Amino acid sequence: MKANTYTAALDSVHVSQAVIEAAIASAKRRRAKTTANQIKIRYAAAAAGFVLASVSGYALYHSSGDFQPPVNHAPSPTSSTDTEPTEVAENNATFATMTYDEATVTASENAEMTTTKVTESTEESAEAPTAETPTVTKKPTEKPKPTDSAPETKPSALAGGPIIIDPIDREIDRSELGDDGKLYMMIAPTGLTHIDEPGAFTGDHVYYYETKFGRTYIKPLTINPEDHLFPSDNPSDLGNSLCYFYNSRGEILSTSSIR
Amino acid sequence: MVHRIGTDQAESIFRQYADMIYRVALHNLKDPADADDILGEVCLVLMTKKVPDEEQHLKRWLIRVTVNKCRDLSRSFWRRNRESIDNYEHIEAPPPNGFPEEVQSLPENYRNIIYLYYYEEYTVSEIADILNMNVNTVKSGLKRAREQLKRLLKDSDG
Repeated sequence: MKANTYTAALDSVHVSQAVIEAAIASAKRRRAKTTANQIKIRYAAAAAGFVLASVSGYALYHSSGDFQPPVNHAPSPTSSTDTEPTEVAENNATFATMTYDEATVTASENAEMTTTKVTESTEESAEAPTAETPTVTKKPTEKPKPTDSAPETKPSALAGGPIIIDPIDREIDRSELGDDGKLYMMIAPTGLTHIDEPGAFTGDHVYYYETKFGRTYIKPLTINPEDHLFPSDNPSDLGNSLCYFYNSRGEILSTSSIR
Repeated sequence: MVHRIGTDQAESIFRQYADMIYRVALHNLKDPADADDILGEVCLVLMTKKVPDEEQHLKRWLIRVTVNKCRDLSRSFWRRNRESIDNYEHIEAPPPNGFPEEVQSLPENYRNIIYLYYYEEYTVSEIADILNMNVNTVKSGLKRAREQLKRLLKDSDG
């Protein structure tokens, strides 16, 4: 057999049009299914993260006596997805410290903070704290301690309860996502039409990522309220807020109400 | 550079390279039905992953993706644990896929090397890059494949 015989034999091998169409249809169907599942998983992880945060905050507020560093007693819902236990514990600590500061923050300040970059707030921490943004100027590593006047700023038991995010009303197609293929989430007061600085949140708000193997792992939420002001647990503030789902370009793809 | 493409563009690229993907899959799996499955897998990768910009790189990337998908299928639980249809004489053998039997009898890596060298006319270094192998491994593989083919063809001639 010579090489030209071999190439001639291969030249005669063609895939039929029907097979091509079937392959394309199959790929489209599987792609749509995968995207829908990923959105559901991400949404579930986000909701679980919020519940975990609120429960941690609630537990911390209702622990009497001296301030204790928050400890991760309960396993995270995402701990089985290749997440380091220390990371989860750190996240809980972050969530727990969140609620102390939030009680002193107004909704208008929340709106202002949603456009503040991480780097900016870090720089601010080196300067003297100002009267306008007392909670923002703290370094993330510093844990606020309750004082004698703390009961005045403590949220109610209701405020310490879980935050529930209602399901989004549609499936978000992968083509709607930005170049990074990621979906971001943020809670902010109603009325937003566009996220002005989506890059400011990419460090903390990514709650899923894909590996080169194409698998999706869930990364727990690491929202740091000192860097990105989070709406307080005050029910009146939450009633005026929405959960925004947006891409890396800042385009809001969907919203869902929170309770 | 790599970038994500739209569904329409992925479809267009897939149609353009479908024959090549099918041939590579047939070389690796020998089974037309499995090669059809690989077509769907590669199409899905095109629609969901970032693909190279340049056509030359795109073609190599597609060959690599196809070879990897074929390996995944070969190593799958289903593939490793099923019984060959050849063991059942009362069932008709699958129709020939159009490839020379001598080439099909070569080991998987040799088949890929022979295909890329003689049909796609890639150089040894390019084949090494596509298959993620050492250049010298490709050279020795090509040499052994030729020797094996020569022996097989002698036997078939009688």
